[in-house]
Amino acid sequence: MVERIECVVVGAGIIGLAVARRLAVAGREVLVLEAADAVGTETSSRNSEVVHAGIYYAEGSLKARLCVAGRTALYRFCAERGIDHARLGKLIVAASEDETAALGDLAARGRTNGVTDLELIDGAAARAMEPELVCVAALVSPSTGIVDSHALMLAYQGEAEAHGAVIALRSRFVAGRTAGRGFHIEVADGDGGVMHLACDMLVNAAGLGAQSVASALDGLPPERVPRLYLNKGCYFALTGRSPFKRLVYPVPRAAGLGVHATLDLAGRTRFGPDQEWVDRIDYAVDPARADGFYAAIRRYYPGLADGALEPDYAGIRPKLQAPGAPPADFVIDGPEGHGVPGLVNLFGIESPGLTASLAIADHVAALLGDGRS
Amino acid sequence: MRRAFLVLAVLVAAAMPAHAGTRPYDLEGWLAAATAVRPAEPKDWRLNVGFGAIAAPDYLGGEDYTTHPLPLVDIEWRGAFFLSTQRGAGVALFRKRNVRAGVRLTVDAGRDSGVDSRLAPLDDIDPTLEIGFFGVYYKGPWRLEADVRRGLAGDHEGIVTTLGAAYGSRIGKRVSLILGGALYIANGAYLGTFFGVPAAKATAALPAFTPSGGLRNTEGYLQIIYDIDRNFYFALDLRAGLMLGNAADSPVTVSDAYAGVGSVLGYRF
Repeated sequence: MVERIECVVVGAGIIGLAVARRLAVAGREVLVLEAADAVGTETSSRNSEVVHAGIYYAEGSLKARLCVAGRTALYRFCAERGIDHARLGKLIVAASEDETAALGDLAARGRTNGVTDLELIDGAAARAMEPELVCVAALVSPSTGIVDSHALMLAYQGEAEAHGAVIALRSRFVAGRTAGRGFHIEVADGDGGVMHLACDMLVNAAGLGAQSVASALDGLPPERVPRLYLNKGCYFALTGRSPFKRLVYPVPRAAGLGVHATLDLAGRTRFGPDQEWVDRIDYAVDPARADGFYAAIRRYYPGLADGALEPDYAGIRPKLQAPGAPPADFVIDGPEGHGVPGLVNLFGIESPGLTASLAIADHVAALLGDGRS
Repeated sequence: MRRAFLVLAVLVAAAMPAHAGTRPYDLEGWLAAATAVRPAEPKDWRLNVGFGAIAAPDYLGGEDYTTHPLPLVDIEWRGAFFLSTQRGAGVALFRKRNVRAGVRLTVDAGRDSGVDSRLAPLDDIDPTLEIGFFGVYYKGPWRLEADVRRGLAGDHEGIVTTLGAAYGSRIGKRVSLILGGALYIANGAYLGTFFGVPAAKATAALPAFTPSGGLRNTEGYLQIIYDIDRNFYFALDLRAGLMLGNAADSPVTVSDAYAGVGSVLGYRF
């Protein structure tokens, strides 16, 4: 007799845990399958830990809507539970005159997305806020902040478990198939055994492994599984005193938000991430990549001393667009999209995934037909 | 759990030697001042057994506390050779009236990365057999001690030096107090193993960190020993510590300050 679970969530990263919490709090029976031996070991723990305001994203996109909604929810969630966070604010800086138009575009887009507290200021005003900064203009985003992502994940996990969810570590989703009402799935445990489960609902929040999970699901049309492109970003820590009190981002270019300066909750400054298209998951930080950072950073922080950057950590973004293509939106594919009842696949959950995590969880719950909060 | 208790056992017992480390053969000055070990007839064999519990951080630098059982077995022959759950195995090669010095083997219990979810990206640190030298000097109620131990076989090849001082005083017929402190110094190899984070393993919560050698931590402790009768005793150990230097700066260290409490019900043969 195969054990039946109401909801299975594949992946115990920030999104999987947020979804598990949301479903468990709503009274669902939830099992989270995580292949690693701890929660949040991949993208969830290897990002800037920034709470984004919602400026950058295309109007009406999932990234825009879920970031703005998620940001408000996240700050409230953290405040209510004592999770360390700080609404430091951010300056997006135009290092040259030809970037000021882009700043104006960003401001307009942000306001369209619902970010109502943005303010354009000139270089002098920006330097008054951040004396070490050099720029001709800046866009101030007071709503941007930072959060202890590890504590946040533990909070999601704790609340999910307090409402009956089970987080199964060293449990890898192997394959699945639609089976009448729900799904039949195979799970490999850490000892080499395989177990079979049945579930009514299946949420694929496997992050970098989401495409593999979806491809192993018999009954899902293959064209509903977008291609995965890996984009690696390395961070470098600044030795010595932090020059900034706020986050500082250059006007974005190419596939990311530029080599930006963020602070962690200990007040340490780190720069990054950079962009590197890769074909495998490797978190080693090549110290030589710092060479490309110095020129980019000195466009807005000329006081950066030689040798002041040290390798910090790396992350891999699950991109859905090929190199050179415009940024892609989140893909959160529910039953109305792919036609499989009870299934939600999440693909390409990169930045602002952490900010949007609570809103993404609500969105997934709605796709599963659970409007309860 | 086994590793945790071994570490905690060594930590506690390093400052609980009064019952296992003071011998009447050549330490009458110390004994006369005030200890829980009654001046006893010279014996070839001394055996001290006990069982207790200790509450301390899950790992050095951690912020979560766990209570562990603490078995105590300490065997000594002629004040020279010893085999102990707390002191390791060794021999006092130099024994004069107020001084003991020798060599010993100890076990550093390592650290399980699963003990705290923040440490999950790091590899487990397996137990390491260590070899070291120790020296103790007794002057009246005072005890000054130093030891150096080096990883011999296992996951760390570092060196840890401990400098300690303690003052013993008898309060009444049955109660003794020992007030002491210790300073721990480790080299880069040791700190790198326990407090370093390689960039390839680093995350936002655990960024890359390469410590250099220096101060590791310091502790102060108070031991209260109650002689139930000639053989049975109860000991309570209260201690507080502070992480120092690169060990404190490491992202592995979540709490610079820590405390611990241990208790043992023992029997001296």
